Amino acid sequence: MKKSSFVILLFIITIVSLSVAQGVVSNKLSTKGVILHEIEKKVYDYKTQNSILSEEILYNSSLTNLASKAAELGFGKLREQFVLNSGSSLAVKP
Amino acid sequence: MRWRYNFLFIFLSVLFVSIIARLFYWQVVKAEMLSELAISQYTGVREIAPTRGEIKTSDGFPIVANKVSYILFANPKEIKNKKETIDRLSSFIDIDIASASSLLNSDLFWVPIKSGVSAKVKDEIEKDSPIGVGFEQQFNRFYPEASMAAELIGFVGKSDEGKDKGYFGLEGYYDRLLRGKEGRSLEIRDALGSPILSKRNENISGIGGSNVILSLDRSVQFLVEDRLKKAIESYEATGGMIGIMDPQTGNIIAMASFPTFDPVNFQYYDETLYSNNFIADTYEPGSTLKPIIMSSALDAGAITPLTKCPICYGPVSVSGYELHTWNDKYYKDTNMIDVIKHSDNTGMAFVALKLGRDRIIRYLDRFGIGKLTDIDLQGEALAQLKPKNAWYDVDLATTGFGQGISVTPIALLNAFSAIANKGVMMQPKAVSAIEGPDGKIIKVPTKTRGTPISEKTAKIMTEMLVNAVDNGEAKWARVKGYRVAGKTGTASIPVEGHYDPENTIASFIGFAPADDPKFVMLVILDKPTTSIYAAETAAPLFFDITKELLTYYGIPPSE
Repeated sequence: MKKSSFVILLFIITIVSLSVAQGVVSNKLSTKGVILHEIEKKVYDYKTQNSILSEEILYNSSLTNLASKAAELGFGKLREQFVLNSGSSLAVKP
Repeated sequence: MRWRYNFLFIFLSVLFVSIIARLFYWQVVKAEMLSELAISQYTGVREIAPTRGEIKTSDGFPIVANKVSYILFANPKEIKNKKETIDRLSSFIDIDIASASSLLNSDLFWVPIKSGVSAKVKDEIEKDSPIGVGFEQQFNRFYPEASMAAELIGFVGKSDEGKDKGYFGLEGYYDRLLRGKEGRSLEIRDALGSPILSKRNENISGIGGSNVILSLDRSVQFLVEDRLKKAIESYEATGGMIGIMDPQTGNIIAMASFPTFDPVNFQYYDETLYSNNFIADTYEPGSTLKPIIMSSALDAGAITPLTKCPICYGPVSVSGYELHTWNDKYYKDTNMIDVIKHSDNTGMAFVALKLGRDRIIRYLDRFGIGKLTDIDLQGEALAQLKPKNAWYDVDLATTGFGQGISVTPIALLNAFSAIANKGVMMQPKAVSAIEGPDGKIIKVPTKTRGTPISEKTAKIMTEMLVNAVDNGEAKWARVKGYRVAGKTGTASIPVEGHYDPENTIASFIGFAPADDPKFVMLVILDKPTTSIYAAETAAPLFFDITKELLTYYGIPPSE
C-alpha cells in the first residue's frame, strides 16, 4: 500500500510540475510573436532603406549623370593622343 | 413504479444518442469547414512578391534595377471629409481629382489612389498624418542610365492577370528567369491581430529572379548612342542604328537605334518604337552585301582577286534590265580588287552570274542570310530568301550588289563577322552570364554557327576591304595609322514596285584592326538628306566611332 501511494504521489508531483512548467514557458513565449514581428519590421525597414540608397548610388554613378556633371564642371574631350612605341633615348645627338 | 425507471432510462438514452449524433455531425461531418473557418480567423496569409532580377552590363553595373515605390491607397469608409483629404493629398502628388473623388465615394474598404509614389513623398504625406490613407510597398523597374539601350532591354508591363511581365528585347526573352517565384507566409495571430510564435507558422520562401549579365560594354554603348544621335541630327536622317559585335565570340558589345522610347513611360510612345530595329527591320543592304557575295565567289573558286571583268566597260544588260554603277563610271577590264574598291555594280553582277544560282543560294545559306540568327532577344524578324525556282538572272545580278534581297542588320553583321574571324561565324548573343538568386554565376557559352568560307578566303577578302577603305570613296574619312577593313553601302529603298529616286539607306560595315579584329560594326542611317551617299554620312560616323574604340581598347597604330 505504501509503495503504491508513493508511486501515485510521484506521478501527481510530475504531472503538476510539468503543467506548471508548460504554463511558464507558454507564458514567456506568448509575447515573442510580437517581438519577432517588430524584428521583422526592422529588417523590412532596413531593406527598404538599402534599396533607396542603392538607387541613389546607381543614379549618381551612371555615365549619363557623370557626363552631364562633367559638362557642367567644364571637363572637355581629350583632343590629342600620343603613342609611345619604343623606349626613349637617354641622350640625343644634336 | 418500474415503468418510471424504464421511461427515464429510454429518455436519457435517446438524449445521449442525440448528443453523440450531433457531436459526430459537427466534429466529423463538418470538421473541415469549421477548421477552415478557424484558420481564416486566426491566421494571416501574406503573398511575398519576388524581386525581379536585374540586368547588368559587362562591368557589373545594373542598367536595369528595381526601386522601392508605394501604392497610395485609401479606406473610403474611414474618411469623413473626402474633399479635404483629396486637397491635402494633391498638395504632395499629382492626382486626377475627379477619379480620386469617385474612388473615395465608392462603397469599398480599399481603393488605390496612385502608384509609383517615391519614398520621399510617402514620408512627407505620412508626416501630415492623413486619416484613412495608407501605403503598400511595391517595386518598379529603375533605369539608372535612363533610356540607354532601351530597344535592347525592352520593358516590363502587366500580364492579363495583372502580374509583371517583360515585353520585347531582354525583358521579354528572359522573362521567366528574371521573374522569380512568389513566396507565401502563413502566420497565426491572436484576437488582437498580433502574431503568435507557433509551430504551425509556415513560410514558403519565394525565389528571387535571376540577374542577367550582358556582354554589352556600357562605355561603348554610351559613346555609340551619343555619336548616333548627333549624326542623325547632323545628316538630317529620319533614324539610324548601330550594332557592334566581337567577331571571335559573337558577343554584342553595343546596339543602338533611334528614334527610341523611354522604358519607364513606354505607354506614351508609339508601339512601333518598342521593337529593336537592328533585329526586327528588314532592308535591302546594297553594297554592304558585296563582300559576302565576293567572298562566296572567291571561296567557290569562281573567280580570283585578279580575275578581269569582261562586261564592266559600260552598263550591263541582264534579261532586258540595264544595270548601272552608282556614279555611272565604268572601268574596262577592272579586276575584283578594284570592283570592291570602286563599289562597281556591273562588276558584282558579273561575279554573281559567274557564281550561279545554286552556289549563290548555298553560300547565302551558309552565311545565315535568309535565316534567323537566334540571338537571345525577343522580336527578331526573318527575311526569307526567294524560293530557288523564283531566281532569274536579273535577281542573281542585283543580289550581287545587294538589291532585290532583304536582310536584317543583325543577320548581315553576323555574316560579315565571318570574314573578320578567319571564316568562322559565331552565334550572336547579348547575354554573357546568368547570376542565380544564390549568387552562383553560370556563363553562357559561345557557339559556332558555321564556317561559310575558308580562312584563306577570309584573309583575301580582308585585304580587299582594307584596300577599299584606304583607296575607295570613303578614304577621306578613314582612321590614319590603322588598318581598317570596311565597305560602304548606299542602298535604294523599294517603294510600291519601284525604287525611291530621292532617298537611300546609307550604311557602312567594317572591322578593326584588320589583322586581329577586336570588333565588327554596322552603321545604318535611314534617309539622310544632307547627302544620300554612305561615303559622306555613314562612313565618317563609322570611322569616328572606330577611332574612339581603338583608343578605348588601347590598340596602338600599326602604320
